[in-house]
Amino acid sequence: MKNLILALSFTVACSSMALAQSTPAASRLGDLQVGATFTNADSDYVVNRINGFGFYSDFDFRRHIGAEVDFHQLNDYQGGTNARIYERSYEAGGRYFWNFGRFKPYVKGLYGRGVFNFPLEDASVPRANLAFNTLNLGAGVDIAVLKHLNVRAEYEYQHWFGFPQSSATPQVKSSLTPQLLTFGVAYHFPPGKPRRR
Amino acid sequence: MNLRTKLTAAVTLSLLAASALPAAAAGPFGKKKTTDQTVSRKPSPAQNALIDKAITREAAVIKALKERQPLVETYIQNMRPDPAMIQVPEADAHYLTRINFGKEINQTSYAEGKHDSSDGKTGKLDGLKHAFSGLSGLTKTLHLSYDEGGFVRMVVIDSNGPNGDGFDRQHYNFYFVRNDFLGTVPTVVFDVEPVKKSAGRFFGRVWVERNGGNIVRYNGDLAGEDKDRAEYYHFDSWRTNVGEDLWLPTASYIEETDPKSPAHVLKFKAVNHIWGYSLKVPNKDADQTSLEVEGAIDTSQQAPDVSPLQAQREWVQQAEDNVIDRLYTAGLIDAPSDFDKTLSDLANNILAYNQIPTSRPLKVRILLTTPLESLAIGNTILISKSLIDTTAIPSADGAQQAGNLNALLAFQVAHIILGHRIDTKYAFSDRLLFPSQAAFQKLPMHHTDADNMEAAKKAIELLSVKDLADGQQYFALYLQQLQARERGLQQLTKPQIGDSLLKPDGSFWMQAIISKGPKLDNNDLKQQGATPLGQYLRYDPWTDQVIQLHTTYEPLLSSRDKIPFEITPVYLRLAYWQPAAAPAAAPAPGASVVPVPADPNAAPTAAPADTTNPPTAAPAQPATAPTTGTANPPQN
Repeated sequence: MKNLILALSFTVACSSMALAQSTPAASRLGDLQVGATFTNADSDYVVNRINGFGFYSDFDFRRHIGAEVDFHQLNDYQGGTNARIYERSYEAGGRYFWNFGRFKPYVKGLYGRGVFNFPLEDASVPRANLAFNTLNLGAGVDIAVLKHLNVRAEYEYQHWFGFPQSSATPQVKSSLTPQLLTFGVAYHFPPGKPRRR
Repeated sequence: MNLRTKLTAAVTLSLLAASALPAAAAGPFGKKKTTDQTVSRKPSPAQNALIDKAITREAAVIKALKERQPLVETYIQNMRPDPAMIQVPEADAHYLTRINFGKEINQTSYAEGKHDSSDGKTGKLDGLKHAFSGLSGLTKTLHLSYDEGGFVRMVVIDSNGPNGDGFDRQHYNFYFVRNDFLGTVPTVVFDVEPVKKSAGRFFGRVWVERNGGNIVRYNGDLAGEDKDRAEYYHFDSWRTNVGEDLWLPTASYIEETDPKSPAHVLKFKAVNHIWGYSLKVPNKDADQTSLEVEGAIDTSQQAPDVSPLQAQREWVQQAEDNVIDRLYTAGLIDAPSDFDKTLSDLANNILAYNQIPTSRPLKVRILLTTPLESLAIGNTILISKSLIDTTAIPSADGAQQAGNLNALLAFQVAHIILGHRIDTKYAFSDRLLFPSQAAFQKLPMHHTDADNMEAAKKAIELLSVKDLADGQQYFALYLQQLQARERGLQQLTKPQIGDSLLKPDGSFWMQAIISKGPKLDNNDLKQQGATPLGQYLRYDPWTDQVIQLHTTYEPLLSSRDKIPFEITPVYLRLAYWQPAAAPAAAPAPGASVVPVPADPNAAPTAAPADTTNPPTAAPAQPATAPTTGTANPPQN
């Protein structure tokens, strides 16, 4: 079933690319934006919601398809410096978007690595890091405020694979599923007036 | 099904749903274009039959393009607002390509020649330049760049089918608009829209010639703009009847308005010119035509032997002939025409006025490309069509145009007089065996800076004789006008094979002549320094002959009407092809702005002494009917 779905989606994606064969009179490699984010998240670990920051970049190289890289750092400072818990993620993947004037809604799927930092009960080793593979799904909208400036609002669901259910039973695997609400500002490299290659 | 499987399935399903959603399904955000049924209606059975005919004829056009691989020249001017002139060019781009019709329409570019005298030298800053070149390359790829293929694409309505012939009823809907005349050709006008809006499909209007069902003009856009990444532009394409029932692409005008400009300034305008249809496929009649060769001299009655000096001259002549022939077969110069003869007379007159003898009369041919340049190959002077066009200032006596032409010709005449002759390596035929697209690189015909300096000095000397001196003031105006626009016309002023008007430092070779004219004043409507591109000549796309336009005089109403060196829309007065035997229509009275470039009163008063080539006593005659069939006889 999974294979069938994959094959089907590949076919549809290819057919939409085939339609765009006619050479345009002006083009560029793609549309790039690089930005920074503020995130408010349900960490799925601590009770309270936590905040964080991040960076992102999108390179839209097809009519509706682009690549995205994300970095998120979510911090919980409530326990003091040594008791700090943070969730850090590095993600890369693709997105599918539509253009409606200034608005560019999108859905995205990214794969990456998440680092979970937490305090240990053993005081001689104040903190520990664990790293996990993550799958991240999201949806949001980029809004072109100025020629060079985009803002974004986004929801992202993260799935951290193999996260131990508890420190007492590390052999029992579960998952961590943080949910992030992100707001970002990005510098957009505009297409500009066409010029000679 | 575990969670991982669920997630994977969710991702793939969401991608599937996203892909399946068409771009046009904009919902409340989007606005789908539809044909306005109040101005167009479903075609009648007779009109449907004409549409079917047009579809068949369009396939024939594609076949001709595949076989003949004509040249397409694209010249683009980016515009910026200007308080006095509304808009002026701020940058330009030039592409010369040959159509290469494979699975879809494509092109092969003519490689640029090298003109920078610093080529091959390395400087102290080169390391730094290389360091930044990567960064610069990245920036370039993120900036929108013109793609000549997208402009070449405009020579056909639809190139999407398996054979590049996607214009059919399966992909398009047709709506009748009205009956119309384009020139003397009766047409039926249809609105055309793609059944399914997808990238590369035409959306616009076609004019179908009533008798043969040929599409003679189409005007619209291609669907599928990819915002922020790829752009398709509006274009107006014209075709010319070049043979029996054969209408082939001739020119397209392209423009887009800057949506953010309150004054509706253009973002850019561009023009496509297509010619060279008969270069690839030899004319069937070529072997049966008269053996009279243009410019050849029958030497059968002369002495059986040649002297060393004669041999030297023959050798140079052979090199010259080889280069001219190669440039012609590369599609870069015109077929000999009556207008060439007129220019040749002017060039020979310059010698005569200066009482300079020559063993062989000078010949002039037209370089069909747009950049402003001229060159001399042996005794043949080549002047680019745009130089002729932009110097053709309409005036009652034609003195301003004649003055400009004399100055242009004098520069290359000076090169010839000074013995800046062609490299005789081209006398060996193997030197000319290269692809046509490499002509600019393989045949660099430009002179050195030192030669140009010397020639400019000599040219001003040649123009100082009594009969030519008055014309210098007009060329001074021309140069001032070019100086005012030069910054935005880098590609127009960059020569491809010959000599520029400009020195590398941006001043003119003939800078000294500027002091001999009045100061340029854009607000003075009696003064015009230069005219738009396409002002004076057009070419027959089949024969590659240049033909003088016969237009009515349009008075200037404001400085904004001057549009010097600018692209203007294409508008052809279409006519049916006439066989060679048919006489050409005479220009209507008052139609020709400058009937004869040479001033009839400017003929030398006395024959130069000791010349083997006497000056042309009679003024040059107006162009007569071309020797081959004419695609578009002169008309008003």
